[in-house]
Amino acid sequence: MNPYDIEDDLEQSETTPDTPLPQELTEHLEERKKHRLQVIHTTELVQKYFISWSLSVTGFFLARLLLLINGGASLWLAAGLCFSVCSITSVIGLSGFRANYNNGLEVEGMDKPLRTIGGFVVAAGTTWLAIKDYQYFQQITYDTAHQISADIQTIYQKRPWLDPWLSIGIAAAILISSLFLISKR
Amino acid sequence: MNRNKIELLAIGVLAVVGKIGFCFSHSHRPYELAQIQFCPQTANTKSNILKDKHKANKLKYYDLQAQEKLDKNYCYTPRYVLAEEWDKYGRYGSIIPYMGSTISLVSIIKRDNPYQIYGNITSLLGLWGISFVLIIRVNRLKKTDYQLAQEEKTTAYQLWQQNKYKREIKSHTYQLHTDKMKDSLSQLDLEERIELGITDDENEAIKNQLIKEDYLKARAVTHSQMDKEIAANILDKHKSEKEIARLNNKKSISPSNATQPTSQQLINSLIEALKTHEDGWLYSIIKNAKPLWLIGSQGSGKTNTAAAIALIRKYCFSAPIYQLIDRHATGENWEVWKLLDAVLKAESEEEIGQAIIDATDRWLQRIKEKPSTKQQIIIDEFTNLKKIYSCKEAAMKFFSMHLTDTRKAKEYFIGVNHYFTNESTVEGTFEARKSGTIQLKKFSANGETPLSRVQIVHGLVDENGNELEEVERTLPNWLEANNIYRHFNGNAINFE
Repeated sequence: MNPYDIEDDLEQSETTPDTPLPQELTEHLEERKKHRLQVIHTTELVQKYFISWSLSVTGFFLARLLLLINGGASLWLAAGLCFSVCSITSVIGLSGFRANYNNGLEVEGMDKPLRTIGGFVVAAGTTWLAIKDYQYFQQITYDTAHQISADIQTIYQKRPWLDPWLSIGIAAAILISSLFLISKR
Repeated sequence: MNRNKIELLAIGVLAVVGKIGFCFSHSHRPYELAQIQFCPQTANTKSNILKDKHKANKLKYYDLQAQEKLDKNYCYTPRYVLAEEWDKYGRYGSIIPYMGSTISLVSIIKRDNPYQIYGNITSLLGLWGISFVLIIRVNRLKKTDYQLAQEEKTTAYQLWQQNKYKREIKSHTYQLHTDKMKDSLSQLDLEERIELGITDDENEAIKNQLIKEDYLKARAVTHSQMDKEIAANILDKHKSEKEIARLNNKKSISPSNATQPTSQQLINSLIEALKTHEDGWLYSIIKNAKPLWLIGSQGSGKTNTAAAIALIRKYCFSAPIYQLIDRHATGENWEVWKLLDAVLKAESEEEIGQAIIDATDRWLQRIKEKPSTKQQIIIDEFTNLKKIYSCKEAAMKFFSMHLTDTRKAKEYFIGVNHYFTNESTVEGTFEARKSGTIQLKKFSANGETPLSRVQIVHGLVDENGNELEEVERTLPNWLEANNIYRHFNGNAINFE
C-alpha cells in the first residue's frame, strides 16, 4: 500500500464541527484573541528589554569587580569583557539580516545592523560608566606623580647642589688647561 | 493563588530586591586611595654649615629658613594616588618618582561604601530574576493560549446564552404587559362606544363570534398541517421499521439463528401434558393453523391465555411473535406481553392503523414467498379498532383477510375480543368465521377471577371430522403465561 494513500485519508478525515457561535460572540472572541497575542508580544518585548538590561548590569559588575580586585592591570580586560557582555543582545539581534551580492547587492532586514550599532553605542556607554571612576582616580594618580616630578625639577633648578660661580670656575679651569695642553704640543 | 498572580508577585519582589541592591551599590569613592606627602630636605641647616669651617665663615650668606619654605611649598600640599599605585612605590612600573623617604604615606583612605559589591550582586540577582520570571511567563502564555481561548469561548458562550434567555424573558414580560394594556384600552374603548351608542353588546358578540370562527379555522389549518407532518413521519417510521424487521426476521427466522429450541425434554413434557389434558383438545387447538379467537368478558383471563398459547407455539413450534397489536401493549397488559418478546409492537392509533395495513401486505408477500418458517401475530381488543375512524376500513379488510391468508402465510393468529358478533367483527362473515376460525370462550366468576371453564364455540371437530359447537372444557391450571415462560427459562412445570 502506498504510504501517501494514508496521508490522503488523514487529510480527508472529518472532525466534529464546533458549536456554531453567534456573530457578535465570534467578533468578541477575535478581539480577545488579538488582545492575548498583544499581551504575549508586549511581555516578550519587556522580557527582551530586561534580559538586555541584566546583561548590561552583568558586564558593568564584572568590570567593576575586576578593577577592584586587580586594579589597573585589568583595565583593558575589564573594558573588553564589559563591552562583550553588553553587546550579546545586539549581536543576537543581527539574526535575520542578510546581505548577498547576486546581480547587485541584495539586503534583507536592514534595520537589524542599525539596531546592532545602536546596541554597540549603548554597550560602549555602559563600559565607559564602568571604568570612568577608575580612570578618574588613575588620572589623579598621574597628576600627583607629575606634580611631584615637576616639584623636584623646580627644587633642583632653584637650589642646585653646586655654587654657580664654582661651576663657572671649574669650567673655565678645564677650558684653560685644555688650551694649555694643546699649545704645549 | 494562580500562576499569573505568583509571577506578578515574584516580579514585584525581585524588582524591590534589585532596587535595594542598586541603592547599596552607589559609591563616590569606589577605590582605595593613598594620601602621600613629598617633603624635600634642605642641606642649609645651621648644624650642617657649622660643621664646615669654610662654610661657617659664610654663614651669613646661607638661608636658614630654607626648610620651612620647602615644607610650606611642598610637604603640606595634600597629594593622592590610588592605593595600588602607592603599593608599587619604589618598584618596577611605579609612576611616582622614587625619592626614598622624601615621599611618604600619610594615610590610606578606605572606600566610602564597603557594601558596593554586595549591592551590585543583589541588583544583578533582582534583574536576572525578573528576566527569568518573564521568560517563564512568556512561555506559559504561549503554551496556554489555546486553552485560554477555549475557556473564554465556553464562558462567553455561556454568558451569551444566559443573557439571551434574560432578554427573551424580558421581551416576553413586556409583550404580556403590552397585551394587557391593549386589552384594557380595547375594553375602555368598547365601553365608551357603547355609551355613545356606536355599538351594543349584540353587535360585539357577533363580532367576537366571527373573530373566534376565524381563529378556530386558522387553528384547524395549522393542526391539519401538523397532522400531515405527523402522518408523514409515522409513515416513514413504519417503512423503516418494516425494513428493519424484514431484515431482522430473515436473520431470526433463518434455521441457524431461529429461536433456540429449548431442551427437547421440556418441549416433549409440555406437549405430552397438552395431549393428555382431557381429550387433547387444547393441543389440537394450539397446533391448528386456523386463526384463534379468545372471547370473553372482562377479567376472564383472555390476554393471559392468549400469551400462554403464543409462548407454547413459540417454544414448541418455533414460531416467534412477530407482531403485537394492542392499545394497551405497554400499559396494563405489559407484564404479560413482555414475555413474548415481539419484534414489532403497535400501540397508538396511528401505529395500529399502519400495523394492520402492514400485516395484510405481509401476508400476501409471505404467501408469494412460500416461507418455510412460522411466526405469530396477536391482536387485542379488535372491536375497538372498528370504532377508530382512521383504522376502520383497514380493520375490516384485515379481518376479512385473516380468515384465509394467515394459514397460507404460515402465520399463527391469535385475536382477543369481548364478543364475536357481526357488530364486533365484520358483517356478512358469520359462515366464514364459523368455518375459518377457532373461537374459545372464557369465563370469570365475578368479573375479576378467571375460571378454568372454557367453551369451544367453533373449530373443534370429533374423530369423524364433524364440527362440534359450544363444547365445554376446562383449561389446565398450569396454563398461564408466566408458568410457560418459566418452564422454558429454568423453572420447569411439574405436570403431575
